[in-house]
Amino acid sequence: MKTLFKLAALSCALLATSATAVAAELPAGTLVDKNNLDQVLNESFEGKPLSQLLTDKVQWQIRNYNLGLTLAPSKAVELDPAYLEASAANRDKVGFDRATRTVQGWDKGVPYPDIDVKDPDAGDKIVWNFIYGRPMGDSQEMKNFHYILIDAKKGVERVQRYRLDRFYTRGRLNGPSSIGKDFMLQNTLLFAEAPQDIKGIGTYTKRYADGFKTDDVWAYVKSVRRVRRISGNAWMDPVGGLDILGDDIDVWDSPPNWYKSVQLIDKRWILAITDTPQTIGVGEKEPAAQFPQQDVSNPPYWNPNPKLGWQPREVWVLEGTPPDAHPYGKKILYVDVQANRPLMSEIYDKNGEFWRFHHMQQQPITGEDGYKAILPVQAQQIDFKRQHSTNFASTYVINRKGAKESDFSLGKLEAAGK
Amino acid sequence: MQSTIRAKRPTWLMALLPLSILSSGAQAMDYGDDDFGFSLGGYVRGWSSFNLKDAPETKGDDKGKLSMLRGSLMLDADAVTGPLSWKAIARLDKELMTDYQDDLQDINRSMVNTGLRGRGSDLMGEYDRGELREFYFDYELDRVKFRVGKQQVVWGETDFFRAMDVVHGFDYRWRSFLEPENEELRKPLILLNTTIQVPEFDGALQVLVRPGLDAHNAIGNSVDIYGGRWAAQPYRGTDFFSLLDTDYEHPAGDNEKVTGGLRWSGMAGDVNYSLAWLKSYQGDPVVNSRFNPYKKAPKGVLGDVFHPEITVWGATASTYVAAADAVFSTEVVYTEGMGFNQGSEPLFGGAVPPGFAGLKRKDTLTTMVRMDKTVDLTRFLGTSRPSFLSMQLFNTRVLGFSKDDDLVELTPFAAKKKRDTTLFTTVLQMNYRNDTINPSLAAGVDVNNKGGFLIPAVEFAMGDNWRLRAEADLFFSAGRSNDSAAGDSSDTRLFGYLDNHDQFVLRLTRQF
Repeated sequence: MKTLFKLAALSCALLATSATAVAAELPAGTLVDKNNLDQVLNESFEGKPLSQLLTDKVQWQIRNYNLGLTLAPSKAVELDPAYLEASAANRDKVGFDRATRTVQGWDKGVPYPDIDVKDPDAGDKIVWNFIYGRPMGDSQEMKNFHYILIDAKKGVERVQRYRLDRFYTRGRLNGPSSIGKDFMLQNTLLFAEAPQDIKGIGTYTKRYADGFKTDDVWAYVKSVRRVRRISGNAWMDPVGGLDILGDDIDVWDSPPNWYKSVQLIDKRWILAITDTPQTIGVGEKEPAAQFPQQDVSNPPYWNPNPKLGWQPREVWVLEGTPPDAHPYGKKILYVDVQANRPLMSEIYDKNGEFWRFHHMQQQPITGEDGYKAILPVQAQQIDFKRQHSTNFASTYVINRKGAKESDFSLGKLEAAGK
Repeated sequence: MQSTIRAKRPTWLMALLPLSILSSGAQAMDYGDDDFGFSLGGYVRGWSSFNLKDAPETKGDDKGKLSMLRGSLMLDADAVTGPLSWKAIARLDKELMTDYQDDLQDINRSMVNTGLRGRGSDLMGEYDRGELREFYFDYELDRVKFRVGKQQVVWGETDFFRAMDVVHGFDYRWRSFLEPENEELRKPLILLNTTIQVPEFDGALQVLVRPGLDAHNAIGNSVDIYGGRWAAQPYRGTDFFSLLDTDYEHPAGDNEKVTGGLRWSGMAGDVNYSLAWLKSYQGDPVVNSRFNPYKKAPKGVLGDVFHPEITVWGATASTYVAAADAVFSTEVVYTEGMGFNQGSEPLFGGAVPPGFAGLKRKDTLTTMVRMDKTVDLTRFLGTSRPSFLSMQLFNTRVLGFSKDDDLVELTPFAAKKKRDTTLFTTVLQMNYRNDTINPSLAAGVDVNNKGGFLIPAVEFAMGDNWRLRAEADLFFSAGRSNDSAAGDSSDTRLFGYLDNHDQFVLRLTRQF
């Protein structure tokens, strides 16, 4: 009996050794944090080693900044048939002008549905794919849109609430694909709703589609009750008092030809969040209840809730080199291959030192017309040099019934001024 | 025996007293949705301002004395009821009497020898008020939007001064022109305000009708001619309202008359532009002298002040110029019927000061050019983001100007009106630590007449609720002022009036 027991024990030990050699498979629901990071790095999820799924900078945050995450089974994002159909129709149809680094002959959908990793212009094309071929609907109205300013030691410092209304005038999937004679991409109204000293301040931004001109921007300055034209050349400047540049909105906001170069440097799998639950506790006053998917209670107070499910996602990895006047030296961008959404970025200063990490969590949202969209509903935009973060959370109304371009006009900015 | 509350031991901490009535738990209220909803916000705010110079009108040394101790409660409510959206803003202001103001009030009372008691005999009566400042509803019908009720409408592009922004008057009594949010100084009016979007022509037509239902003193600027802290030097402590009446029913400036205007604003290429016509009232009052009445015999001992009706024709343009990375703006305004007082010499051997010889109506042409630019001072001054710099040149020309008219700049000063008055102003706004520390610098120069101002300030944002602003208001008369009414005022103009008015101001706000 004793011999039998010893044999059984030996067999178990051998099995364990062999399992370690091929990396043990972790179950969905496993919490990964600083307590088990070293262990799980030797293990895998859905057959992919955690050491590869967790990028170096995510590992570094787990180890040093209390980041926690829960493994979630991968699930393809359900994209709208109209979007898929328009994108498929662009195969071998849409051109690329290398001199201006612009898209030629695009009407709607993803301009370049098939990316060749050997294509030297692949980086530019991937950025144009998510700017032109966004799976985000023809109009977006962000409700309960909050910026949460967080200090690593003090926690939540300020909470600002906004409302953003955006109307796309190009690449529309419902009705005419283009509206207006100029080659404009979108019109955006942004109004501050709280706190009192910024309530009523608003901006109206018209974005050109080809990147040849900077935005046209107007501001409604509430304290003097007047609309004022302001410089549109602010894409390289910080947005108000936030920890982001204009360039960083939605992880990457600029046409690729504003950068010196955008190179495709890898195609890999990472863990990211593409089915975030409701991010706003509507009517709640305390930040922890107001933003249930953010961990604002534990240092450094800026992480996403560790219960959020991170799925294996295949991504393009791009390296953007900004112009000399830009404060960044390099921006590494992770773009979801299937969902066509920028998910994360790592930002380095001019000396090559790691500076900022931006992480947008996505959520599938169905528009009022039934359109299936995916949008960023929450983010952490962390400045590690300053130990400060601007987090973001919002809800959306997509493709509101009756939405028309005149609802998103300069006249509306002035008319809405109070 | 006055009944006003008095600050026995003035200290800046007393300015913060009103804030203690608001518990730390006070929060904005928000509920509802796009169809039916309500939100309420606002602030409790305390000011204290200290004299940085001695006022020559008083016997003692006023330097360091409190000149203002003020508290305000403002409530800002929004509501949506189906197709109508509503706005209501109410403000309650209360000041405490300071020793310095008590001195001014005593002088006011001692100077009154006409048997008439003017407004300066109760200074606090000029500052304490409760007002429903705005109350209106919006209704949209396709491309037409109606805003009906008491509201503020701002036209034009000019900062600091007014050219086309003359739909309303301003209340300059308690803080002169210095409060940074001029919405707090503007005097709202009851208006029917209709805006029709015309996308076919890339613009909108705005139609304003003021039915004349406002309080009688809602038109024109309210200025300190009652001898308070912002009265022109050397007239702090001189209550002209014991000698002058106010006439809001003058045939050339009747507040009950229906007025209004039209404005077309739109885009032409990359240029924003607007064209406007407006019937309104002159901001600063003029004197209808007893010794040469204009269209009506005045009631006051020396005359009446009133706000003549003016007709304004204006155009504005602004655009971003990529080559300069700056926004350039301009405003050109032709104003018909501005009133100017006459008589640079005193009357009756000096018994009546200058400016009482009569009134002349003239047209003026006002032009403004301005550049707004973002300047990167992050390396030089360590700001956290590029700073906002604005520079503006503002000129007012009296058309049909004749020296024979003997126009004065301002009654009761002897300085003669010049054909052109040119003012240069600049503002630099900086930001540190995620916009929680925001220094600014504003400066202005009277190009023709010398003198100017400098306003360094810093505003601190502490969390979501607290804001603290520290500000110095410094004025430079360039020697062109007079310390007493008997002195020579033939060179005393704008910055001469403000001589020795330098202030240090603390403003603490608890918003909710």
